[in-house]
Amino acid sequence: MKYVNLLIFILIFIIPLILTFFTYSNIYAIPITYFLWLTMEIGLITFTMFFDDFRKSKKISGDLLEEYKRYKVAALVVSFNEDPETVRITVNAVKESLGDLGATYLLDDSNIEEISKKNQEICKEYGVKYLHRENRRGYKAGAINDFIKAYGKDYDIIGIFDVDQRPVKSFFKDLIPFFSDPGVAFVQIPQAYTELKSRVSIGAYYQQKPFFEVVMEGRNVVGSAFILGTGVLIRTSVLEKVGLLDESVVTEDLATSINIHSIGFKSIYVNYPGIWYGEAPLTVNAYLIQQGRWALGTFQSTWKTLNADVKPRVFLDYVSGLLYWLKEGPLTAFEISAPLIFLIFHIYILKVNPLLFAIIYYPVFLISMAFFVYSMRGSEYGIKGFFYHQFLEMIMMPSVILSFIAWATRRKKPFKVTPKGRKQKMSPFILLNIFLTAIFLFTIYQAYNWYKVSSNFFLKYSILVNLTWVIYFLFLNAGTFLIYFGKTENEEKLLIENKHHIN
Amino acid sequence: MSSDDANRKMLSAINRLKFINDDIYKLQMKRKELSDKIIEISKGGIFSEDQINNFMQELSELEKQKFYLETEKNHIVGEIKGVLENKNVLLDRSMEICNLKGIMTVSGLPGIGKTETILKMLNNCNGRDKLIVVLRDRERIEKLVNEFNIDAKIYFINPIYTKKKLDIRSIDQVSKIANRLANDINKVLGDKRNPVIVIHRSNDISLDRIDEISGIIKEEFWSSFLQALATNEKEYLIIFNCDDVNEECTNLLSFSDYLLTVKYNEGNINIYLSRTRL
Repeated sequence: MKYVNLLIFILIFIIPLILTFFTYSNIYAIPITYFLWLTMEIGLITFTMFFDDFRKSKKISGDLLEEYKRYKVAALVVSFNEDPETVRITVNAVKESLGDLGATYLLDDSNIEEISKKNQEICKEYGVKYLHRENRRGYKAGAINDFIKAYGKDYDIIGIFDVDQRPVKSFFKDLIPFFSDPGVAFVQIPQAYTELKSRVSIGAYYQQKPFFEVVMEGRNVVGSAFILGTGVLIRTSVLEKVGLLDESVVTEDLATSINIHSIGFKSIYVNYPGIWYGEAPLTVNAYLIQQGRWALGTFQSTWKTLNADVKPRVFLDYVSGLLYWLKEGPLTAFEISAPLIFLIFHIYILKVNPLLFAIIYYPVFLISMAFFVYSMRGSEYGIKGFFYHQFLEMIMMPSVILSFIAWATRRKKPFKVTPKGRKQKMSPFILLNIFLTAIFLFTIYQAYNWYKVSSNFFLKYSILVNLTWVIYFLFLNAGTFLIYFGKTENEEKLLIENKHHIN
Repeated sequence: MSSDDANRKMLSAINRLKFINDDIYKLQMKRKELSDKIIEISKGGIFSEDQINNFMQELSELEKQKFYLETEKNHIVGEIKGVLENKNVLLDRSMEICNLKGIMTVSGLPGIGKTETILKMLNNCNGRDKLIVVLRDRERIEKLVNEFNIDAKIYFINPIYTKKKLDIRSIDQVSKIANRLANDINKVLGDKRNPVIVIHRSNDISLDRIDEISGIIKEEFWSSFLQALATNEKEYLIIFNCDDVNEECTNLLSFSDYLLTVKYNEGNINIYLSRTRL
């Protein structure tokens, strides 16, 4: 293990411990005090990293010119029980884009005979090679690895596409020249969410924007851009060097990226519209499954991250990804519970001057939010996108917590809900948000009563500070119902109008 | 007309062209400002009916002025082209071009055969390193280079350039991106003594997105680009393949030492070479 990595990682968790020692008020509330400080510290770290990514995202990294050389490329479309009509259009788009550079393959793990038969016919019709597995060992990563073991030696580069992401005609011609630098292991482009048919999908679209426009652009300059699973080209020889895609975690893309960076190869992220069609999660359940998987994969990669043989700044980027999920899941739960415990049970969490706390923390909090919106100027993100983003993060909290628990208990799946495509009117997770609304309203009522009877200035002030947080969370929680009960067509129309206005 | 007279006439035309470009730029900025105000009004702004009428009147006045300036500009461009045509030399030996150094604009309408002409000329330039810089149209260039069996290296400008070009919001960013592209070309040239560099096409590389407000911005782009390439100090021959649309080639004209015009005439393609530096 790299000692610098370990030191940085331990420091992140030690600093709040020291602050807790000096500020705890009630011995039973010490864990909450600690996690509250940890939340604030992680907020500051992620904001600093975001700020740095923003600054870096404005730079041009790498060379603008690449010598044109020909490579043999295999374009892989990976499918599991997807609608054959979706498969048809995608394999056709990929084949068209690949041209005479190599061959297109459909790696089909479908276990419904009717679907796999239909897929086979489609491949025959379009001249796409069809590969079918009876078992799903290693899932998507397993299918790709099995392909490389069998055919990898015939190709210099592989391109990976999910069935719901279709590349533009120039995709391969645009990106292959990057490989003229022998140090480049993979070239990644942003995923696209073009099919925005529900409020969840619109929210997911907004949520992705800062990540693709700022975070990944910054990480590209730092050298820590990672594989996103689709819309990527990878040098086959490098994959062979790292023992192929890492099947030990559910997000093989992140783990493989760490492995690749650890052996000194470079990554390129190109923020350009190379995908013309991309499906976003349509329902809350589909969204929670996706986020839960990403969170679980990141938690599972913790030890790999600590062992990464990379520069400290690259390590910090990977850690910051981990801290993000920690903050959006378990730590948000502590952040919510702290003012509730104070206002309902009158248990003091922090022994700090409430005035000083408000003077220091509120500006930092507000500036970070304002900067976040500012960083996205010029795109259609704006205030609307920001709130969609926040409401969706509030919805995803329980799924991230369940992923954290699954990781801690070494389970492979965090939870079971009905995935996309099957009819279920409402996600069961709405019950949590209803419960939270009731708790918040009850807490506001309790706070009002307490404020009325208290005479101490500092106590009154503390009640107000905590009340502000409860109202803030109540607002975010109320926003989740907009997503749960969204009238989708109107929102889609609004977004299209908004896009036209921007253009 | 003597050669001196022709030079004087052209110099004066180029100077007038610069002033007209300035005026058009200012006019377009004003028009943009007005259009923004009118958009605000349409969103339910705070302007009275009188103010709205005034804006509309002002806008129509600006349109008239713009039409007048553009007519004048076309006239001047025609004048310059006329002078150049008088100085034209019908090019029959492409070998001559291989001995040149400096900047050459190859101008003509799209599809007339400029690219093929340039590549055929390149084929004869033995003893010089050849480099083709391409942003779009890659497949065609690759095919033609193979077809003509040209000993040239093709360099693709990657999509990061296109993205950064879209992000440009100020004139200093224009210089930055132009410098960066030129420096990257210098980097791949390394210590090559007298290469021929083909930029295919200048229209793709300069700033097409902000066309509507900027002949000036395009000029700034090419000026920074060529300065960073340090063409004066080296023995480069830079050939800009330029589609003669939207006055793209006019912008390059003031930087060029040579103009190669490809024209279609009664079933034949005629190629003319002129010196443009006075």
